[in-house]
Amino acid sequence: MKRQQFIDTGGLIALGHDLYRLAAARVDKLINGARLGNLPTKFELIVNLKAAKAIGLSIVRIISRPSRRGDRMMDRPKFAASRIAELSGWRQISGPLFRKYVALFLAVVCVALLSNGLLEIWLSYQEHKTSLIRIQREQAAAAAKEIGQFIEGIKSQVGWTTQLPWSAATIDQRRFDGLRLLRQVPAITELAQLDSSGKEQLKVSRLAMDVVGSQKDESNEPKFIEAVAKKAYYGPVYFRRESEPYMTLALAGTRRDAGVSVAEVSLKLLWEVITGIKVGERGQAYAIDAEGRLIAHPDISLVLRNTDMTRLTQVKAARAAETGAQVEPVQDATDIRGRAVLTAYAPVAPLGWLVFVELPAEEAYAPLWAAIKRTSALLFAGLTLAFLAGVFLARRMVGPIQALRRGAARIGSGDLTQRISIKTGDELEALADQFNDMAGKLEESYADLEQKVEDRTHELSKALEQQTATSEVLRVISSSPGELDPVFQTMLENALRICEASFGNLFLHEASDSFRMVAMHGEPSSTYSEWWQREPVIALGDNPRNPLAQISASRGVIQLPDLKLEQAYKDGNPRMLALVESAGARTLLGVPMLKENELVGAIIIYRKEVRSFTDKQIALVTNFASQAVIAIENVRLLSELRARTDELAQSVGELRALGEVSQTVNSTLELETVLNSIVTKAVQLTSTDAGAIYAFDEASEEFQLRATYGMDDDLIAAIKDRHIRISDAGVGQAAQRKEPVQVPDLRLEPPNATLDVVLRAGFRALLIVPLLGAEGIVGALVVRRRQPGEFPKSTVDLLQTFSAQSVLAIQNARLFFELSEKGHQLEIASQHKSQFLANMSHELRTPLNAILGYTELILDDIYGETPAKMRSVLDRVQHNGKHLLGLINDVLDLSKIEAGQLTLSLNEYSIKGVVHNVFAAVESLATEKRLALKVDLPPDLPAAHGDERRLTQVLLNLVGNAIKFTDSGEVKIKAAAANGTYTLSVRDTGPGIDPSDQAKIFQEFQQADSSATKKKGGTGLGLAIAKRIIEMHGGRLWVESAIGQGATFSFTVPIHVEQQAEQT
Amino acid sequence: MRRREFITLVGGAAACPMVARAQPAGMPLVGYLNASTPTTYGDDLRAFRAALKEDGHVEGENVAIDYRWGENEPDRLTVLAHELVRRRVSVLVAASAPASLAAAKATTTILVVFMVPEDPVKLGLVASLAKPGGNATGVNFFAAELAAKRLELLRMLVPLAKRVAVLINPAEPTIAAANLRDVEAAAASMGLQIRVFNASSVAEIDTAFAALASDRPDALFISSGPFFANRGVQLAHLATRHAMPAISATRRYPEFGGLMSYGASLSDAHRQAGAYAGRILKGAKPSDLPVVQGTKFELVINVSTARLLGLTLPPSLLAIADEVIE
Repeated sequence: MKRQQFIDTGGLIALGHDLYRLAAARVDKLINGARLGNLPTKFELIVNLKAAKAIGLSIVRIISRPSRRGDRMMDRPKFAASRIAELSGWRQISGPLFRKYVALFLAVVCVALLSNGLLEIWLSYQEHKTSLIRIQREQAAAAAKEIGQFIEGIKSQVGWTTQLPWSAATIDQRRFDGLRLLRQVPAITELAQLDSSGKEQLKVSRLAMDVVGSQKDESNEPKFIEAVAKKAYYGPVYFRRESEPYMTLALAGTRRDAGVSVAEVSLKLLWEVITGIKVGERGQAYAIDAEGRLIAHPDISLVLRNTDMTRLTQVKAARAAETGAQVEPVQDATDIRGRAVLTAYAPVAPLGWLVFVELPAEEAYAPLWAAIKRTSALLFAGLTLAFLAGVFLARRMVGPIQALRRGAARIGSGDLTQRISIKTGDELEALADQFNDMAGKLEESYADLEQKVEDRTHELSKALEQQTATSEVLRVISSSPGELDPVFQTMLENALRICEASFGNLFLHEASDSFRMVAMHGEPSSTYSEWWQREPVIALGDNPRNPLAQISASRGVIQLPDLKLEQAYKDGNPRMLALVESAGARTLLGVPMLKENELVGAIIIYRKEVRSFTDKQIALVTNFASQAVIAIENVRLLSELRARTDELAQSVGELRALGEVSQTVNSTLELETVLNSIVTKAVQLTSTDAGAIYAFDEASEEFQLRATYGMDDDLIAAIKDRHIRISDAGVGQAAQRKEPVQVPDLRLEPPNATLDVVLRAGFRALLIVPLLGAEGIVGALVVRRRQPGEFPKSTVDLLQTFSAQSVLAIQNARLFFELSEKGHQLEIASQHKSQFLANMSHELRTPLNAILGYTELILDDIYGETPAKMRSVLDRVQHNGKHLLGLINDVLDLSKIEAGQLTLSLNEYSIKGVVHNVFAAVESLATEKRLALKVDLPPDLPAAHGDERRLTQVLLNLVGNAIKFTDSGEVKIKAAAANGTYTLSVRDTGPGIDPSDQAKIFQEFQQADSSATKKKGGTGLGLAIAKRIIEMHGGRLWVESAIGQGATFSFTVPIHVEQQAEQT
Repeated sequence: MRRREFITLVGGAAACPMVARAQPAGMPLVGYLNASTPTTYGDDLRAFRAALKEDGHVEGENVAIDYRWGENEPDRLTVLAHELVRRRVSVLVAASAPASLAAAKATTTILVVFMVPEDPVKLGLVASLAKPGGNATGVNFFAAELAAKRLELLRMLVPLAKRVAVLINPAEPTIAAANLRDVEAAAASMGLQIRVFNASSVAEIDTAFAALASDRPDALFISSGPFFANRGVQLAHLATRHAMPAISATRRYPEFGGLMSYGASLSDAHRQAGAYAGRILKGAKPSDLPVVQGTKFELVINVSTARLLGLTLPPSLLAIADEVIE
């Protein structure tokens, strides 16, 4: 099911009706004869739990029986639809469209709010920082000013002591002034007064005793020189006992002779000044001297520790800037304790000191953070508001769409009564209305459809019923081949049921225009049935008004609506009376069974009430009639087929047995095997119990047991002991008559020793067939049966066939034995011959060589001058000797070949060289006979591998023959290479060779024409040897010629011969 | 102006009422070791407590102070110091050099805040003033160093004096030696004759004054040091009885009827020590705390005594006097 597939492949929910399954169920019911109920409206909801879990749906409330694969729920569509609505209900508001709207709205507002907020934060940060720095600078400037004022205050106090010229006041006066200064200014610990020449005149101190007029010369000290020059001298800061900061302050009076006052100022008291400078809540100010050492700090201990501040970045930068370098002022730094601070500085003008003002960054930026927090809170509030607005707007927009979707989903799921209610007054409402219209129309058409389905189903069921009946008849026909009764019964039964008839008959038409009742169904009454049993055949001649007669006449369907109105009834026809009165038939329907317009029979059905059969019913019965004809025909054909098949099977069995026997005969020459096979087959095929084959021994004129089948060892032993003679009964008798003899029952035969043995073994009948060869009796074939009785002719015929085979086998075996004996003898003789020839040739050649050698010596005048007469004789001796030597060599070669002693010596050679050697050897011969010797060699023949000497011998033989047998014209040698093979041919314009002689010339000692040979000479061995040599090379030698057309001898050899071919 | 505020601040702190000295559990404990008797240290302790309070440590509320007095018996100091160490005080404040040395010897872990008139480097308390280096730091106020100045001031009030008696305590040898050395040098420059009298106990002071009476010097120089500082009443009484113009190092002397004094302010020293103790309680490390030098010197003159002795206050002296007691 598609829905199940959808679920199986991971779908979430599938919903659909179950019409296919319902239709199938309904058909089932129809077949079972049940009535059709209402149209079931079961729907199916399939929910995939896995898929639901994957997307986070909870479906606990819907599914009560969860299963691994998915779950099913069958219910009314409305229930299912409501479940689906529930399922989708809590997801409806967060659908994609809704989220999109909310996200879009949020995005727009977020961008605006965020950019604005961040910009504001950034701007206020910048502004705040700028103002902080500005304030700090101001504070630093103020602090510097205070410190400056502190020093200036001391300076002005000291200044009083330099008002008067040195001569104007007594030393006591000056001392008093000094002491008063110490009293007024606690920071000054010591005051010295130098006169205008730089001599110390007075020194008052808090610690030491006052000194008057020490006259200590200080004129070279910077404090004096600078004070005189600049009126004021600020000495560098020094640390008394390495702890307390001090400074020397020297002032010169306005008058030249006022001298210089030198004060040692303790800077520890700057603490008061520096502590008094308030920088924010936790900020502080401090001062460093020109060397970068701390001279004033709220934590006095830092000062006392003589702290070096130059490592601080802000101090470094400030000192660099004071020396005139272009340095970016450091604003964010860490203080001496490592805290992050916002810092600013100002120089204390005349002293070269720097005052730093530092505010902890935490405190400095606190307002800024507050502002950022405020802005963020506002931003968040704005975003929340935007989100809520977005949700509200999206809900307003998506709500109706969701309602539409839900409605459409319900309509889609089959709930056509569903109407969508949307009152937005816009396009969505119009859309909803259209949906509602559509649903209404769907509902109407669905109702129509249901009605149509109902009607159609009814029709369908009727048709189905008829088809089922037909198919049942067909089933019966096919399930009971060859039997007509069940077919006719089923046919009638179905016809009666569907046509609502009471009973019916089936008739078959018979030759003498009569009908035989063959089937009846319905059993209307016993009298009626008995009638038909008594008289199953109606002759139409006797009943001209019988309905069957009408069918027979018209070859068509007849319907008699009321039998009581029929003439036959009115005439009082006894059959008709019995039909109407006894069986109660009133309406009759008769249908002929026609086979190609030939009346085969008829079906007649009856109703016991007057009611006509409908066309469809008639058609059905007609259909049955056709089927009945087919069934009858089938039965006829089937019985014919069976008869033929049986015959064929018999023949095939016989043929197969014979074939097997023949195969055995041909496949083996073992006589025992053949005979055993024959007797086995004979027994099996003739359906007998045992059999035996006897062979006739001509010498002893007795039959000997050669093969048996189905006989136990005792019987075999008993029969073997018996000497069955030709005069004996049974086998002997058959042999004498040369025809089969059968004994139907052994018990009825006159007593006979052999037959008794057989009888005792349990056999009652036997059939003996003599085995007759061309030269008389060969043996006998016997089969035995345990049942008495005649053997049918077919068995006898069959056995005779077997006997012929047996004769053949026996004779074949004998022939083969003789043949192999002779072949063996011949082979030995041939070997002897070859050996003899080889030996003889060798023995002959040795003396002949001596003859030739000495003849040549004589001709060479070794033994003195040879007379002319003798020379011509010696020439003949030498010529004939050479011929004889050639003959002997040829014989030697041939014998070597035959004896398998000739071996090829395979080496590289050039075919061109072979041809040239031959050409050179025979050129003089050709010239002698005025023959043109031509050579046709392609320029690029490949190098070859083979026995060059032997191939030269072959070609020489061919060319020599051509020259020898050609009296005029030409001899042409041609060579060619193709496909790894050389083809050489020697063509002459000689007399030609008759086709009948062409095979002969390749045999030993044979020539085409004896007369020509005698004239031309030759041993007749050359071609035979040439052929062998070529064959040993794996090639072929042949001739093409016709009388008067010349001859062409050709041979092929593989270019590369790697191995000598096997001698045949 | 600022100076006045500064002083007022100290004065205000000194006015704080005394509080219970019991130490409730869990409070940090401050040990206070003084070689003298508690009777004359009221103002100084007030300054001390006020300074502690400035850092948020209020005695009895969130800090306890254990006071131990040597009662002018130097042998007791070591015992007392060890007692305080055993009590696991958070900080040990020691007034005077013997007390400070006893404290420093008693512990190497507890931080000692000392108040010494001598050079603490020479005493071996610290490595240097700026970087003490050990577990001790504190206040170094000047006393012996001012001996010459003191003699000068005495002569300013008694310009006709030729012979000056010098009272020293041989039981405080370093102080005695320093005083004597400075005074001898100053006397020589001023053309004064000096005669030294020794006194190490109350009885000896009486004996010394008896001797003084027979010798009749023009003025008396009382050496610095805790012993004489604590015998202010007796000394003032005896000096007045013998009509002897004398100068002391501590302001208690003129306060109790003596003529004049010039020296560092002990209250100021206590204030500094209190501030340090407060910082240590807050977790400050000794390396953060350099030795503070007392720079506040007070010239206190009792005008009544001067008048009684028939002395005229010269304007120069008046000009530099920090306090004139009527």
